[in-house]
Amino acid sequence: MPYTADTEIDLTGHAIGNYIISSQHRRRGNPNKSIWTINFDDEVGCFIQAINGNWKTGTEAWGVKVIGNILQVVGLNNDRQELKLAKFVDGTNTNVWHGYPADYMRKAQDRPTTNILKVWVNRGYLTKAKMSKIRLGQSCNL
Amino acid sequence: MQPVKITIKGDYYDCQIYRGRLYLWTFNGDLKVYNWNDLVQSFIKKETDKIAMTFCFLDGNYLYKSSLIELFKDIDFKKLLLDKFTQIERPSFKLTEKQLEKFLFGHQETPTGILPTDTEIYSNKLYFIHEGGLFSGSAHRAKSEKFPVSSRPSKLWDCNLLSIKANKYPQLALSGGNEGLFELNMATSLPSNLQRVEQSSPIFQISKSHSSFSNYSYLNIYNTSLIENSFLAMFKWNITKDKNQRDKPLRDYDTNINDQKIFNVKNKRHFISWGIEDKIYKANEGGFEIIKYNNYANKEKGEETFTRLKSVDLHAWKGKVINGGTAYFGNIVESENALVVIQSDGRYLTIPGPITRWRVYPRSMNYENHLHVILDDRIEIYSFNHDYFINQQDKEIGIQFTAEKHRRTPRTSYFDDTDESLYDNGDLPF
Repeated sequence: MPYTADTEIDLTGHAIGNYIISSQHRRRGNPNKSIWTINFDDEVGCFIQAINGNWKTGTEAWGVKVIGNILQVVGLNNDRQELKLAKFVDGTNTNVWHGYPADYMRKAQDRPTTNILKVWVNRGYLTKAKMSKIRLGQSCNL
Repeated sequence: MQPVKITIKGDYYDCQIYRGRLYLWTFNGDLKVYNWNDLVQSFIKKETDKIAMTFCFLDGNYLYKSSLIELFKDIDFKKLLLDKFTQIERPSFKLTEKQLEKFLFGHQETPTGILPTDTEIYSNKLYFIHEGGLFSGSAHRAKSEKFPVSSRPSKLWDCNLLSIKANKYPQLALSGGNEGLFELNMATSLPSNLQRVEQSSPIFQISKSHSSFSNYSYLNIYNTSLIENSFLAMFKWNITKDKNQRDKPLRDYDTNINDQKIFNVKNKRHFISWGIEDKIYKANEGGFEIIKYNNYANKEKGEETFTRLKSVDLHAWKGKVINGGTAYFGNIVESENALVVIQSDGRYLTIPGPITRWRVYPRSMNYENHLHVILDDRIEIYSFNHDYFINQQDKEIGIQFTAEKHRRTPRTSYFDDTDESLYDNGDLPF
């Protein structure tokens, strides 16, 4: 489906909730924000997977793009370093979400919650050692 | 001299050792507490190994006694003790999870039900953090209690912290990533020039700069950031008067000194630095550099506050330095592919990763020679015993041991630790 940025996307049939691709987190967006390097389809797919996997805590959800249990790069931080985790936010608590690549080392709030990381460890996306490093905000080769 | 090691199989996430008990958090969310003294004694098969095993794993402070240091200047005495340690280097001390069960003191679901991001045990209290905030609850409870630690801890703060570190005085440094560096200060006198950020707990903001982890260096806190310049947050005693006109010293914030200045480097590329007590370390392209920090430098006598000691090389395969720490027995450097211990006697020990967690306990009273390393399917508990025989004033690697540390008289420290638990039990093997 061709998606358009900054427009609410009705995901009925795919996930509970609507999604907005924020142009702020795309190239030529806000230079102070992390940017997606995956395309619109993959961004929305990442969100659908997060919601359907119940990788959600309140109004925040967490996503990854995985191919063969290997985490893929989803974006860059504003120092152009690669990011492999995604954060989604229902900012108005109305089940309308937007998301961005999470910079877990720089921003304490960009670290996925413990129980979601545990799920990813159990699925083989992460090792226990990397989970610990993410929670501590330390560097690891995801 | 090689370290002595105990290996315990199991799927662990965090660990602590405190007053004769080993605390293990399992990855499935349990907290299991074991009787450490019994566990260690179960490995003593020969009378002639008792002394060495006790110093290795139960009473690591004892050999720092100044009277013993004098004794070790006699080469015959020194050789005798070194032989004792050598005899227990080779045996394999291993326990399966099943074998470990007989030493179980108690177990419970980890308090709040969420695996902790970081923990400290301090003054019979467990402090821990996770995304829900900073919590504390009683620990080292009596056997008659239902749980070994409180199952209903108090929430002290709701900040989503990255790491915590206890001082030997009643303070806890709190690293909050981009939120900054904070301190939970449970001392009777509180700083007069720091902003209190939580009404219900004495938590103060020390800096708004990024903080990944931190540690105490005398009065001060060395703040490590993994993305920005690290810095030494300096404090000073400010003598005020209480209502009865008696002197009341306040530990007030003074200034920050960043690591570029401490190490006199112009390079803008970021490298991790860390500090504890008398030494500060900074990684570089191929290893790290060491600075001696003299908190009491007398400038008039030509003494420098920061003196460069040496550079240490690390093999390239070990990868970029991502974390570091220091104990009396040496420096612990975590690289991308391994944990490396650079011992105070110049030897190296490499523990291949992946490393889930490692801990040293330099502020404890009996376990300052321990290194605990959690790997994927086990915890390895190392005991280093070379540092007793080293001239503490001249050593370039590891914290310098000072005489006041080993007094066995009551101290103001919250780590007047396993002494009583050892003697209460009456089961010291010698």
